[in-house]
Amino acid sequence: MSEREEEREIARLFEEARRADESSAPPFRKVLARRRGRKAPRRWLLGRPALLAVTVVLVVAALRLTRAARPTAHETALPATARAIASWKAPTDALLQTPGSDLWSRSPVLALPAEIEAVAPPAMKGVQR
Amino acid sequence: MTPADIESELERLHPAGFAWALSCCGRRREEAEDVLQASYLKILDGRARFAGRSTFKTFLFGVIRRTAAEERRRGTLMRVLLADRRETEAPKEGVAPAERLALRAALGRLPRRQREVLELVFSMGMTVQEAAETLSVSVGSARVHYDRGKRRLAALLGGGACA
Repeated sequence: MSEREEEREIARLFEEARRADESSAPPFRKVLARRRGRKAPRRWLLGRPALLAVTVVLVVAALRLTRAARPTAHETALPATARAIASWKAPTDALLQTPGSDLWSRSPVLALPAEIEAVAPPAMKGVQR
Repeated sequence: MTPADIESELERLHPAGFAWALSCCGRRREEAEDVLQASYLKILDGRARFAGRSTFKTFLFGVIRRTAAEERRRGTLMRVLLADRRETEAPKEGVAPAERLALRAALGRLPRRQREVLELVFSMGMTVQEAAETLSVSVGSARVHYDRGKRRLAALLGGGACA
């Protein structure tokens, strides 16, 4: 079949399909006067774009507030981690328990020599340098 | 054009407009009637104005195509918002000759633009330039869609290559 014949054949098929569609067309006046065939909820929502916009804004705001109030994963994980770190003891801790090791657990308070104590202001007394 | 002239033109082109609306709405009849009514109202109340730069038919078909596209977008949005999972497939054709069914099936496998250009040229008797105006694309682009669509359609219909 040549290109021209093929084109003519396609045109014939389209022509028949169009005639079938046109013959099934509802009357012009009926189309002009018809009520929209949509379902009520859809029309109701579409007729109120402002209401729809406000609802969307409220939902977004509520979601944001809920997210802000909820502790993040990092926050909920931190105390447990901190507790674990605080209670951790090295296996070699026992080696530090030597006679006189209590000296390391408190700071020594050294008395100032008498001549310095005489000239030092009261606030300086007992302050370790 | 006076409002009465516009209305009589719309009435004259109504059958062809309905066929085009059916094509733009995936052959869903009720949707096509909605689109057609919305298009007529847009033209009659002046929201879509005929400036006389093209034929009235080209203008009307352009309005129908844009209105169908708006409805399609709105329908998609509403389905997403309302989580509506209803099928929107094209309804099955009733009793129709096998040839017509084959044509519909083959057209359904073409990209939208190619299908629209072929429908406008072969079915509505428009030139490629008028089809380009209706679809708001350049003439060159419409010509490419026409050529590719025609070849693909011929192959799908089993007529061999049309090149």
